[in-house]
Amino acid sequence: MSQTVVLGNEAIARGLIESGVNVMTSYPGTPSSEILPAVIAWKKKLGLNTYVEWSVNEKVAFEVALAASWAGKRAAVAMKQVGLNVASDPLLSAAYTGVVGGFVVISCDDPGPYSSQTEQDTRLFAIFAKVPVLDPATPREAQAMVRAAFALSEKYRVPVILRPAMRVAHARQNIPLDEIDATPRPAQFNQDPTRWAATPRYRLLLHKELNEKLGKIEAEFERSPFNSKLEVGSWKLEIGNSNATNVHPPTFNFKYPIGIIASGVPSTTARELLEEFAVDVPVLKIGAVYPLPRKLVSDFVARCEKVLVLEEPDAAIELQMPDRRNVMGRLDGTVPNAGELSPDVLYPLLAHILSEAKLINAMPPPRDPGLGDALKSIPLPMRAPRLCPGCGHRSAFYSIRRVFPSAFFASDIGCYTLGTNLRAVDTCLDMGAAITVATGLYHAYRLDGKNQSLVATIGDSTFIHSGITGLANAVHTGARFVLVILDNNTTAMTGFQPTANQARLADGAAGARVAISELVRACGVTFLREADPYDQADFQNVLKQAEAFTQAEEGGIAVVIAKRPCVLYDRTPIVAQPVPVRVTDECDGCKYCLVAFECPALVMNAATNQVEIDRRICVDCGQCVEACYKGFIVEAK
Amino acid sequence: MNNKILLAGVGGQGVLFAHQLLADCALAQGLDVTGAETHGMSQRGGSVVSHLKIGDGIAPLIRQGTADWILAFDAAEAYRNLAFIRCGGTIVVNTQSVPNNFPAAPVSQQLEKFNVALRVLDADGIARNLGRASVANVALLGLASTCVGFPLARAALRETLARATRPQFLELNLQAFDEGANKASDFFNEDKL
Ligand code: SF4
Ligand code: SF4
Repeated sequence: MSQTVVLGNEAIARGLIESGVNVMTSYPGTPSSEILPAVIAWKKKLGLNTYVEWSVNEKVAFEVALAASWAGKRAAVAMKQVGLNVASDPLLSAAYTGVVGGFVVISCDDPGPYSSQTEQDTRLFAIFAKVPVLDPATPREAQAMVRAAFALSEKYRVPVILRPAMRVAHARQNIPLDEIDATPRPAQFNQDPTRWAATPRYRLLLHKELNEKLGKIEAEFERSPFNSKLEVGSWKLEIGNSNATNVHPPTFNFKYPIGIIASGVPSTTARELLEEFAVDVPVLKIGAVYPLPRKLVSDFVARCEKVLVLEEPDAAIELQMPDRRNVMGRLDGTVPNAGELSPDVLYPLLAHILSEAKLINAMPPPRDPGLGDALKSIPLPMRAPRLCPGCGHRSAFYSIRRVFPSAFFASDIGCYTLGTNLRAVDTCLDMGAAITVATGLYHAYRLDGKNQSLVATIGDSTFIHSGITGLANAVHTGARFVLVILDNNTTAMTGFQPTANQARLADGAAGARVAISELVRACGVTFLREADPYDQADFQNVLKQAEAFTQAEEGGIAVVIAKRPCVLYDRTPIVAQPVPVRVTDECDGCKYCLVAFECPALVMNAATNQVEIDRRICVDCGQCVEACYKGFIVEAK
Repeated sequence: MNNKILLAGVGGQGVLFAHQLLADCALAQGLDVTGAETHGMSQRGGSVVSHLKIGDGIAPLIRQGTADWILAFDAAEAYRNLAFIRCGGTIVVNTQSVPNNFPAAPVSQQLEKFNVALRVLDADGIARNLGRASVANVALLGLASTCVGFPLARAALRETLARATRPQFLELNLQAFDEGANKASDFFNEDKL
């Protein structure tokens, strides 16, 4: 069978294609964003009749895919873990209503966290929602689990969650290319109001039905190939291999001093480390986490003196264990309760437990600290994330800082959160909260009779995701602040997915454009201006008018749409009109531009104590000319 | 033949392309690959690290002190990730500084103590001379492929590169790769392995 090396998310996409997925929706979010594009790539390559969309948010994505499943299609929705918060309303309800065509919810977790506001565990959400969850350890297993998830979903008519952690989603591994399910699934929605429009009386019945399904699924998980007992010496077994042997221990009453129950990435890390330590420790690898196969787990626990549970990012297995008396894990503090369980974290943890159990003679000696100490003496450049050279957000934030020296700055989620570097972002809570936080701050200060200057900034995609409702609320309640919608014509942070503000659909086909300006007007906003932040004088003028409107007697919320395409996504405006700059000899090294404008292409030359332009990354946007108030950065004629 | 390779660089240097190339080449030799990448903020000029295991690995990350190879596309990123190298491992670094200026003295003493072999290459210089800054990563791979014990042979890697490159950049990439590989002779006598 042919093999290919792919990203975990691409392996998931391949699993979806092999399962014959008919409808796939998603809202981008790291680390889940590559799944839908990979499905689209296969769809095009194989000429498949698959419907795909980048939805405007996760709730919408969930509901669109769910309804397709109600019509008998195989459907899937992908998002990052905090996206599932947004989609939690339909998730909990869908657990009761059930599904018809297989329906798989992919929610990528981010232990670390590396690019999220929380380390929340989707598996705990699954328990809360009473929805089965599979927890892959590798891309190969994720691919296989997608197929199993569809089968499970169709057999029991429940949504099934696949929960890849970031180290699976962004792992790279060789996977087999298996056959593609081409079963036709014609759309056929069977009207059944007692199910699809159930009133509370019927909801009770549906709840009981769900509980019954979960009981049967637990029984099935007792024998799931994803839950395998790996006896001593068999850790090398390929993960997901259903032939894992169940060798009985040497004597009847024998108990292993230590056993490990692990799921996801920590299960692979633990197995590699056990091999390194060369110790006899059995591992129960759990891939089907909820409902937990309690008999399988209890039997395993009974055969060990002590059991260590390793899972990420929280304690979904441990919390489901009926008897935790001999269990070490997150709940008793053995395993750290925050952060990723990297091999560097697990190695000393395992070494300690193994040496306590006398399975290894002593703790391995710590590494010679010489190298670490020597490295400390070397100054390394800070590589904190920054807005790109030429990013229009930087120009917008710079102007905002100039016009509003004493405002509070409520912002949101996207590249522009990096406006913190320009001290133009004070808050970032969740998608859409720039507008609601500004509203709350406004009302809080107004209670005290104070007129606090407030600026909210939100991106185009985020505004459509969940800014609109906040804006309607703000207008309705009479809040006053300046709202700057940073419209860069794409969802930049997650890899340039189109927004509803564009006429391009996920697969490149033409769609209808939903203009942000129209949405703003429809919310009842009367002050609306569009301006190019690159034209800083004009942009600052518009900001001043906006501020005046928020103060005027008949005024209210003022909205400014800052229009400038993302430079990474669309270079054409800069290529058409380059403005190369140079720093004159008079530069006195005051660093004002470095701090206030912080373009990565502006660098201090320590030898001359003057700022210079890093030509390798400068994009000739000319925006920094404004940032030297002494006039030492000039256009290079 | 199990090998753990850590690739380190800065967003935009083609670290992930190099990773994919090595992985594809290994698969073509019938070897399994596993590994992990950093995404997200990395595009915005941040550090990029990726872990690649060729052979038996199943876990995505390499533990500190166990990498057989570090391929660093940037000197500062080499320092930042040096703790990953194992005793007797090899570090291949792209650096403009005059050879022997990397690493700084206190670190080089430690590396010697750990019996770590070092290969430095002005890959950016090679790329600049060829007129395309972005092929520096390929030049560094060229050098790596000639190192004693590197799991992928020069010819095999070159072939994978040829398959992965778009026709208009093919000549340039192969040239960069060869120039990197030909620098190997410079190290002939210094080999610490
Ligand atoms: S990707 Fe685009 S929007 Fe994001 S920082 Fe770079 S230029 Fe700005
Ligand atoms: S012109 Fe100035 S602001 Fe624009 S990229 Fe170059 S250095 Fe940065």
